[in-house]
Amino acid sequence: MIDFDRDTALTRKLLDALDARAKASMQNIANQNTPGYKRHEVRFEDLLRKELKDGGSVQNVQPVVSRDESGAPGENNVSLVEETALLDKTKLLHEFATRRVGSYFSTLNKAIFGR
Amino acid sequence: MADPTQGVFQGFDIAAAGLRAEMMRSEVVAANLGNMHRTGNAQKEPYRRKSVVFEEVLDRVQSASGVPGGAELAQGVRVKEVVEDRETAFPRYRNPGHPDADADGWVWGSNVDVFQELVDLSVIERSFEANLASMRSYRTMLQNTLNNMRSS
Repeated sequence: MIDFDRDTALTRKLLDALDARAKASMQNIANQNTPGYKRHEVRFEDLLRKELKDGGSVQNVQPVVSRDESGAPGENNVSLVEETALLDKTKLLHEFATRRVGSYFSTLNKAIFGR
Repeated sequence: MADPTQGVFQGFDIAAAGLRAEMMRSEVVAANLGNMHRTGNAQKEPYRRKSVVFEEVLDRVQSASGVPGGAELAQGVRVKEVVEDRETAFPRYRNPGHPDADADGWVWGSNVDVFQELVDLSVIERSFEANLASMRSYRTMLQNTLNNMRSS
């Protein structure tokens, strides 16, 4: 039996994480001159690694948005260069994830219609 | 999530807010440069340098879909207030023939520092471009979603 939910669980969560991460980077870039702003970050890969190491399932992993409180209190901790690099990295990974979903469905298409 | 498209385009709102805020900051710099020669004296205050203060916009209603803590990612930034520089003293110089000169011939100049304003302008330009680049990146991501996730 083909189970879309199970087969695409990882990529869907990855896409959720990447979308949130792109928004976080954009928010950080928009607030690079806001006094006292602390940057947002989205954790996913490390949580996934930990879960799988402990023998858990992908279903239990959720991307988490949190504040990076590093730097002196009351001081803006956004680095424009790092944020731009992170956004580019996110963009590439997002391209990979979307292609993966696309190829999954085109494989199913081939199986069903034979072309 | 009531309207799925709202979440998709929210990324653009963040960058747009950044662009708007930086634009407003550059307008204040332009106002400073335009008024830097407005003189005054003890009775009439010369032009006071203005600057903007940014604040983060948090909207806890709508958020990045299905991600815990995603409500924190909201609508970017806005200009909280435009403040006047009350720290820097007005420079005074003698120019007895000036209409603003007092009995002893002293005129007060505005406390705008041209070089500081020009440096600020460069910073604003860089920030503006960064917001523009982030908007472009997000656009590419959406486009990739449409193109790559087609099953054909």
